[in-house]
Amino acid sequence: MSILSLPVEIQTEILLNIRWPDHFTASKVCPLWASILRAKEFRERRYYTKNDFRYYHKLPIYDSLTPYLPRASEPGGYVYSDDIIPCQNVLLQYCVLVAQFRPGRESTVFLRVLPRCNSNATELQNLLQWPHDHRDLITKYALKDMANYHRSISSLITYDLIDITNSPLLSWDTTIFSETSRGLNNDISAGVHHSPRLLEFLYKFWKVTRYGYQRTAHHLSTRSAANRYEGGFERENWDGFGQTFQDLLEAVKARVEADILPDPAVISCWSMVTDYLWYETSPVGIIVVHVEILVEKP
Amino acid sequence: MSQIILLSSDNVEMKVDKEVAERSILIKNMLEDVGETPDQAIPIPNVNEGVLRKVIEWCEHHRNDPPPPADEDSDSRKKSTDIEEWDQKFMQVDQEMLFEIILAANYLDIKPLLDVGCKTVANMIKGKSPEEIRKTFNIQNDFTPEEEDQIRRENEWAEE
Repeated sequence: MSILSLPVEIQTEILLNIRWPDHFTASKVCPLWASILRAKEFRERRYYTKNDFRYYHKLPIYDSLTPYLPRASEPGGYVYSDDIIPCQNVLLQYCVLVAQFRPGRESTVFLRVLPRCNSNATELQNLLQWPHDHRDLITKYALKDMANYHRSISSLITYDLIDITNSPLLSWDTTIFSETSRGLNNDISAGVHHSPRLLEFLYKFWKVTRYGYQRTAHHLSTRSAANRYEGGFERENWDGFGQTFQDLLEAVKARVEADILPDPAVISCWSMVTDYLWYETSPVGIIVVHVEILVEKP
Repeated sequence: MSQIILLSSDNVEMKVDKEVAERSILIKNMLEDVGETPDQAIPIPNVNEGVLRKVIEWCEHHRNDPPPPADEDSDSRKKSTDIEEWDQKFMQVDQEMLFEIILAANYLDIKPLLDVGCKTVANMIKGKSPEEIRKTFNIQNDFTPEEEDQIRRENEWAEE
């Protein structure tokens, strides 16, 4: 008897027990395993919990990371957050998806995860600190004063950045937002996937120079024409609605390429979803995209 | 303590404590339906003598275990590769027997045994390359080059 002669349900049970990194290996073994491991039902069973969306506001942070992280390495105790984004997919989670834009280079998209995923207190703390805790940014570009400023924070950082620029996840595995007149209050518990709602984008910009971090240099709100990046991000120019996270990234990229990268002082630009807001009385939700621009000091 | 008789697919009768046999939900339900301990042997048509003896051995060892949780999500998958030492030794059999035990556990509805079997196989996959996994389980690589390329591209982002 061969393993492949076992009923598919049993082979599925077996594959449900392998670790996340082994999924990629196992999917290369044979077409049957590839189809099992890539099936939506398998992914949901392996990585989602039943309560993900019904009790999103009580979700531990790791539950929203679970689509792409192994359950096996979850910690025993959870830290709860009231600020979890009520979305189906990890990519819209705070600070999980990081896009990097550089002049004359292809943009890169990273999934930002804890390599060991076992220190949720640190995770929570760091979520509030990005991007100042960004190890690469600090070690590659920042000078002493910045490093000193963030020493206590950077010592806590243990993140991995996984390059998912070419991943089908960005366009195929996400249903992040769509344009609809349905109210936010309407069945939030069902999650974004089942209850699409209108989302707008609010940008906040900060500049980082080699010589220091300008904490309040450039904020931009799509709702306030007076409070915007000097390159000009105006609400009427913004039409970034879409169905997938790839749509969002393309929209961000288009604006960054038009308004930020042409500035010769710009070295690099990082963007990340850092907040999600909604109001009970409004049908509009807001995704806050934090953009940090690394520039040469004039 | 009352006993029942199980009849394997190759017509071998085995006397088993009712409590042990009831680790199998299939048998438990069957006995509940009948309402009393049957005098006649209960046929287990899908399981041969050798496999049935192994399954009974497992049930005897685990006769006092608490019943598994009803909620699937509270299962032990979080500790996916943890297998009790006794179970590890119990599962040190050839692949043919291992798969037969898994099939029997599935048929007899003994979820904890099915879990142990599946975890044992999962551990045989752990950390191996695709080629090593194929060799372990004697699987032919019947991907078309196009399929292989598609899988490679889909996994590219997760690999170095």
